[in-house]
Amino acid sequence: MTKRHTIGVISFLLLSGVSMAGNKSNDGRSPCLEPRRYFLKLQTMTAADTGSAGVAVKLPSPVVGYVDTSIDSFYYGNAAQSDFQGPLSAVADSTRWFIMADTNNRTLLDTITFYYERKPVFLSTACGYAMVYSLKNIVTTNYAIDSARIEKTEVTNATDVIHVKVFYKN
Amino acid sequence: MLLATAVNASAQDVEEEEEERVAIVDSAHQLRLGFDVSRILFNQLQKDKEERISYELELDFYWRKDLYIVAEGGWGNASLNYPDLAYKSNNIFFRAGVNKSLLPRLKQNDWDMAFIGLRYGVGLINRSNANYTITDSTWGTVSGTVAGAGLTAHWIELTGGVRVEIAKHLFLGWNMRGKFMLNAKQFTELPPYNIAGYGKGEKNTVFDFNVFLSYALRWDRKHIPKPRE
Repeated sequence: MTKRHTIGVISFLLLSGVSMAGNKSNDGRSPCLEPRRYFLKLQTMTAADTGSAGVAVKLPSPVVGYVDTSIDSFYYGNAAQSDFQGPLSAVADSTRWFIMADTNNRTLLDTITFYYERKPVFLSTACGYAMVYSLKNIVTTNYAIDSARIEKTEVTNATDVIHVKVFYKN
Repeated sequence: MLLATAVNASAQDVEEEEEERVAIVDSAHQLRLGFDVSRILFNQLQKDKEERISYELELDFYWRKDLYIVAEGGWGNASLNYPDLAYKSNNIFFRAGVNKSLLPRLKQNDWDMAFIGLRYGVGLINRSNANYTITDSTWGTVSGTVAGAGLTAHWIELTGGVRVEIAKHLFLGWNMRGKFMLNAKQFTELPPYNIAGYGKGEKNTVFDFNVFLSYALRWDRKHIPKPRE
């Protein structure tokens, strides 16, 4: 085999590989495959008999929603529940939710207002930017809620995180 | 005894070939200037909302023993123009390294080669202001601007390819390149959509391909007379 034949064979083999790889690759903007909205996760608690940790308590028939938008509720469940998650507003520095513990007792309706700083973060050229939040303060009404506290300030794409614990009166 | 003679003769042949080959290798200089003609085609295949334009030049100099010193450079620009993200960038780049031919030269005028090589690359980048929009299906949308920035990219490349002399002094050949960003952390916050000479700015590893049309200048090495005994 001459030198030029050798070069020709190398070229053919590698260019075949390149063209196959080129056909498979998507050269344009890739589709965004990751979530672009991050949710605050809240857990309802009651004070423990000892210490300050508290224990998770399921609200018997809860409804959770926004106070200041046309979309009234993002959780309407018949099943008892202690963990809730919902979005914070990307256009304001606070968001107010209402939490009704039991649809059979509508007097047990509280509001909880989250105050935070917003920060846009770059995800990728495919997904653009998303908003992350840094919780600063919480204010609640106290019809059924005793108190609330921030457990984790940064609301990002992290999973298995409880950001806020809400303590109900015993 | 015959075997020993044969082995001895074979070894002598190899030595003679080697001596002849050294004489070929060291007899001339070659400086070759190439232009990546594939970019002309790729530059035409742009979409309205995404643009990646680049131009690449290559200069290689035959050093010795099938080893070439290589300098490459070029320029380009890129833009992304979507409602949720729009920005532009432009950059120049330089690469330096070596190519090692895997096929030895067979005669004085044989400059065809299949090679592997190594490069270090640097790109000097200007990124424009970027406009972004975050859509919030509950409360509406948020728009903002990220200030432009000057960035520097550093990367290394492993490359391989061929060059064939298709006419006197005129070469055609290709390079495949695997590129590895060395300072990827600098590009986590809004990397350029494309870095000319490297590829997509948000990728830490990039595969690339060039087709070079080159012209070679050759001249004889200076004859150094042996000192008289």
